Amino acid sequence: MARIRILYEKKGLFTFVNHLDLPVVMSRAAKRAGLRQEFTAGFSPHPRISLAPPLATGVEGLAEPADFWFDEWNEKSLFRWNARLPKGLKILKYAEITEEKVLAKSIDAALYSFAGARAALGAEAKEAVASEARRRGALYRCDFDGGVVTLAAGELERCGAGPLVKALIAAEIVAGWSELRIARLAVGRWDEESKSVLPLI
Amino acid sequence: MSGGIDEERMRVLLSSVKHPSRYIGGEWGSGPVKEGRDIVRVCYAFPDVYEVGMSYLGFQILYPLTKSLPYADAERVYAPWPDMEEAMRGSGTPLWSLESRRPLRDFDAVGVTLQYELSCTNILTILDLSGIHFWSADRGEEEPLLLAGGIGALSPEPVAPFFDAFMAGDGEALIPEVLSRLHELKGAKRAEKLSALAAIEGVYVPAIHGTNKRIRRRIVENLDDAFYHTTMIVPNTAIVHDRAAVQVFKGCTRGCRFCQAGVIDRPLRERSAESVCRQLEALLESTGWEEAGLLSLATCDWKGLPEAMEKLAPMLAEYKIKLSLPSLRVDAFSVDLASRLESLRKGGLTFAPEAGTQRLRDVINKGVTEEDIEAALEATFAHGWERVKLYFMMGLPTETEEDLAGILEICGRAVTAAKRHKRRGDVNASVAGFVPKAHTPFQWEKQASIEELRERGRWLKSKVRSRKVSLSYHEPEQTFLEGVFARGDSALAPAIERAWLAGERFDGWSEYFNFGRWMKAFEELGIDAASYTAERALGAALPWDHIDCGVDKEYLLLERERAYRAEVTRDCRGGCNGCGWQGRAEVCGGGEN
Repeated sequence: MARIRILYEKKGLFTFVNHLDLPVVMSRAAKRAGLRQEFTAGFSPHPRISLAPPLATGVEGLAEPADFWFDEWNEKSLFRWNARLPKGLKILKYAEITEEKVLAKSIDAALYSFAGARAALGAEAKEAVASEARRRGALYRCDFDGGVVTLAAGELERCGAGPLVKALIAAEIVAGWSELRIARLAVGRWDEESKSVLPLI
Repeated sequence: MSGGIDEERMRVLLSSVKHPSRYIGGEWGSGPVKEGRDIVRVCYAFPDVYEVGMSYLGFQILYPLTKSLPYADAERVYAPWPDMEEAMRGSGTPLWSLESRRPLRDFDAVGVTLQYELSCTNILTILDLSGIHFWSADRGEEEPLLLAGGIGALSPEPVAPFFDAFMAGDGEALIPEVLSRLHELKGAKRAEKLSALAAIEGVYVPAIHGTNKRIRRRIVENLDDAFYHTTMIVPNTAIVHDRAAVQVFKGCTRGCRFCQAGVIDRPLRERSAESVCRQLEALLESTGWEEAGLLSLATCDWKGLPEAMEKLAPMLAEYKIKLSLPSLRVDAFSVDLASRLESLRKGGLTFAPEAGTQRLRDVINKGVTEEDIEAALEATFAHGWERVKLYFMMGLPTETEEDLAGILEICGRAVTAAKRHKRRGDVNASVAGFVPKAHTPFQWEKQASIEELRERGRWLKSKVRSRKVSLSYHEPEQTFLEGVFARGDSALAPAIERAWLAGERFDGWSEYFNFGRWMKAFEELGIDAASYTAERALGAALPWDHIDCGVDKEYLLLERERAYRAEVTRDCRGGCNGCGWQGRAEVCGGGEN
């Protein structure tokens, strides 16, 4: 049995696939690749998988962590798995994990970027995003450069893209989701020293 | 062909609707789109929402079949949900195919499957959003041909004025021939294409044939030798029937007199267990699905079932794949079979006794006895299931109060059987209003009126005494409308257009069905809708007489007489009943099974 932690990306129109559908989509691909997953016990056994806190639909994920448990894993496994994923989903790297700690407990921060879909955002967008994150006790750091707001935030369950977009709408900076391009650039641990989100692998 | 809709435009639309993954395509097993100017491009269109359409096995077969033809390519589209329709209209975006994202207007043909009477308004939504004229006669040279197939193509008149051609029979037989002809005629005039299609046996071109030419339904005789799929499109989101599926036979030998599929899908053509197992293994490997289905009109009747179960068991266990058999037969054998498939006894089992008394079950030739029902219920709870779901019909020919009371009696027996085995014994009874269907022995019958169905439904509900039993009945207005279209003629097409213009969409979904709009449409056009559900004279010409499914009208009349005498007709595996197929196809066993 191998516990494999992956970083994957979710891009293009595939970002509109619901986070809750990902375990099934990825398990089916793993099965097509001939990989054997460990199953949970209980009344409805299903492949054992841990995902990071949900990524809102429409938001790109550039390095999303997830844990899978396989009977066997070798260097060719990743290639085989990647070749059988649907368009828009790709595994970037993996590492075998030996620690017991659950994935969610290893995560306390994420890095987001907010850009205008058609026009660049102004500095007021940074204020709206930062103050909403602060209000939710989640703000680590917020920057603005070249029309793009980047936000490092904690409290992933309470401070996802949803409330931040609402804040931008409330501040009349955008009218809706379709005017924004949002990405989650990294998910991992906040490092106070470097003021950055460190990836898990 | 022009280019596809760009991603930025799609993002705007997708951001404003629920369940956006319905519209993104890119599923495993879909595409790639073939290059080449002389490829015949067909877009298969399912006139209901993605989750329903993706569950339809027919398109999962026709898609790879079409892609296997060197001169043709297939893409797909499903009816957009009203929120997406609104967003598309608001932004002036035409309906696109999921694969190349090209507007449907750019295809050589759009192929619609007709599976359900109440999805006809969705066909018009698809056409309208594509900028394709509704009426076949209005369509110009630059518009695609509109083709139809599926069960509805065998009683096509209510939608005939919309379509250019109908394919009567198995797509596996018809599609290659139709597409090959369209390939030869790529760039030719519509009229030329239509007359070429009209010359193919099994193709009905209303504008050329009228209703005088007899259209003979086409069949595939040997299913093991015919094309069968080893890949499927695997959705990125949950759908209604979320599984790898294999058809184990076509046709049905039972001869239930209410059942349209049982008549129009004859004769029986069984797959071998070996070929089914090989196909299922390939499918599970190529799709990764965690559930598999062996499909047919009555899978428990399949000769190959015991052998297939034995062959598949090790693989299913090793990969933890759940095997499902839809349509369990009402007897102990089937329950035993189900108990081997489901070790955890989750949920419950579903049976369809259809009618409450032996007399009425004999009238409809549902070969189920009191003992079968008792044995099935007994076995269900003995094996440890806690719940049972029972399907019945009301408004069947010759029905009396005693027959309705019989429905409640069977529910009560289920509760008692559960008690005996100390199970919860929740009984869920669903009662559908009977709709007489074209090509069946009941095609001349009067359909019970809305008032009659409502009265009977209410009576049934009021008589439920046990709190273990929950009984529901179908919306009588929907049943009425189904009945109108099930035996309709081409005079109904303008009413479909009018109801659509008034806003009707997704009529099979009760949240969108608006009966008042339909009645207004009928009234404005001077159509007496109730005349379609009335009794038909035995000698009267019927709107589907020109479609020859293979079963003789004389046989249907004979079956009707036997129904009125409550005489059963044997399962034709036990001996030929002379339905009309004997001698017409080599595969018809004529009772030698």
